[in-house]
Amino acid sequence: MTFPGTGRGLRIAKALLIKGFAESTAYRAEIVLWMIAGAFPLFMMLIWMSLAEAGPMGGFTAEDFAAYFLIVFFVHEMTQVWVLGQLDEQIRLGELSAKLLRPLNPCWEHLADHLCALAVRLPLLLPFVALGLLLTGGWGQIDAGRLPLFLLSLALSWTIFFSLHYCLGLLAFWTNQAAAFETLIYSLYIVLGGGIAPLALFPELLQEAVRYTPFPYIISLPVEILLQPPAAADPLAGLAAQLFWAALFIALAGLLWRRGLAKYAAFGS
Amino acid sequence: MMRYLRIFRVTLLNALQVELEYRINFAINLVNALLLLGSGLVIVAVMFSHTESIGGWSFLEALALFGVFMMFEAFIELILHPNLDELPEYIRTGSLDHMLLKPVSGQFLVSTRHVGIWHLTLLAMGAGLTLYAMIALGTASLTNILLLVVFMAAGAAILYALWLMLSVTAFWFVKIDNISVPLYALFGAGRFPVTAFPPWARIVLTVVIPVAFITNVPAAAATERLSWTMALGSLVLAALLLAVSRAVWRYAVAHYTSASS
Repeated sequence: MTFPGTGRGLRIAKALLIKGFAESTAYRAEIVLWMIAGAFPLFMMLIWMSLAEAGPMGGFTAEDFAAYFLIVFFVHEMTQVWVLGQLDEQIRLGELSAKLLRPLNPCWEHLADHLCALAVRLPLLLPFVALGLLLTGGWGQIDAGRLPLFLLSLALSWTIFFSLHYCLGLLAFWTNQAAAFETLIYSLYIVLGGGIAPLALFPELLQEAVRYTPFPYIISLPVEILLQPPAAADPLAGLAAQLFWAALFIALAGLLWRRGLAKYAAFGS
Repeated sequence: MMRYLRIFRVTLLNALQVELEYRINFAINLVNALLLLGSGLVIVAVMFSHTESIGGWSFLEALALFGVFMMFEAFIELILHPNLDELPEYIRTGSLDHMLLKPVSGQFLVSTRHVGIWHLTLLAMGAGLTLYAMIALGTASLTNILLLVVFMAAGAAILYALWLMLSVTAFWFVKIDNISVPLYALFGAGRFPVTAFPPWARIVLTVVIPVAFITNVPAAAATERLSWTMALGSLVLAALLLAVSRAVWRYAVAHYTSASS
């Protein structure tokens, strides 16, 4: 999946980004609909804040919950990935064949499309989250000095989730039901990732078990990096784990791509 | 009426016949349903490990509510999603013309043409969970089960009417896939007691996205905590929204000019 060298590479990157950006802005109404679809962490925020009105819950005050879930909402919105369905469709319906004629791995086009959609979301998202933090008093719970680490961790979150979806989408080379994994992976991501409650509030056994899955490293970790205690996490150990999962899924995607393509080519001839 | 029941029976048998060709879908849906059940139970368990009640609902009452929510999820996947979300496609491709020409109600055909039959597993799981909670609470009398069914029917009517009115906008805005996405997302609040939200959000969840009536009222009926005002409100709202959505549908069809014209 290497990208072409500097001169040609830059030209290709520019073309892909222009195309991705044009598409994203053309479907901006749809992007807003999908942003509303990500409201679930905000429901959880309202409920936990109401519960914490009588007193802190497991060490979390109402302001802690507000900050936690608003940043969860932000991370959740910034890690929206739809490549699974696209890969499934392209492989099953044979649209992939046309893409293979290009001298460039299709993964770069998917990558550019996703990044451009994020760029369209960001200006809508930032004022909303900032306003939410101001209104709920969650602002004081944020450790601004950790912002660079948070952004690094968010980028790794996105990489893990994107490459995980890419792997599952590539399964369409072997099954025509790959799209069904989308719901499955989303439930795990939102529940085990910390989208329903800070992981610190989970029963101890579950908390321990969850640490061996990639999901806390997609939502929970970047959030915990940005917040003051009680949610705060050890950034370095977390980032190392994120690197591990990202490398694992990228390698797996590469393997599945090569194996799948060999099978796909045989299928077409 | 009998004619419509007969048509729906044919649709059901047809769906069964088609789906038996794709039996792997059954396994996939079962796993997804189990995961929905499991993740819902985790949410309830985590919350109640830190508190005795959520918005005045006890653990078992919250379980009954989540069971009701699962049954509505099943209703969405069985009927609303496979039918109403296809309406923009029918309009764009012109296949709506054929449906309107048939000697039965177009609204009926558009609403019941497909059935996501495997999602019956989700329905069964939700019913089982609610029934379990009712037995554990000691409220599992025949009257309460009957009330549960009646108010679930009212809730289903409300949800159907809202969904239909959103989908019907496709008559004017052709490229409108995903229009039901926000409604579905906000419906997700219905797995919780509306009383668990802050006062301003309660108003939204009662008036704008009335999950207070859709999921909360049936669950309250099942656990003997239903007030008469809410019960009456649910029935009135269901009748009102059904009538309005019917009128909106007729208005839309009257202004329909078909894909090719």
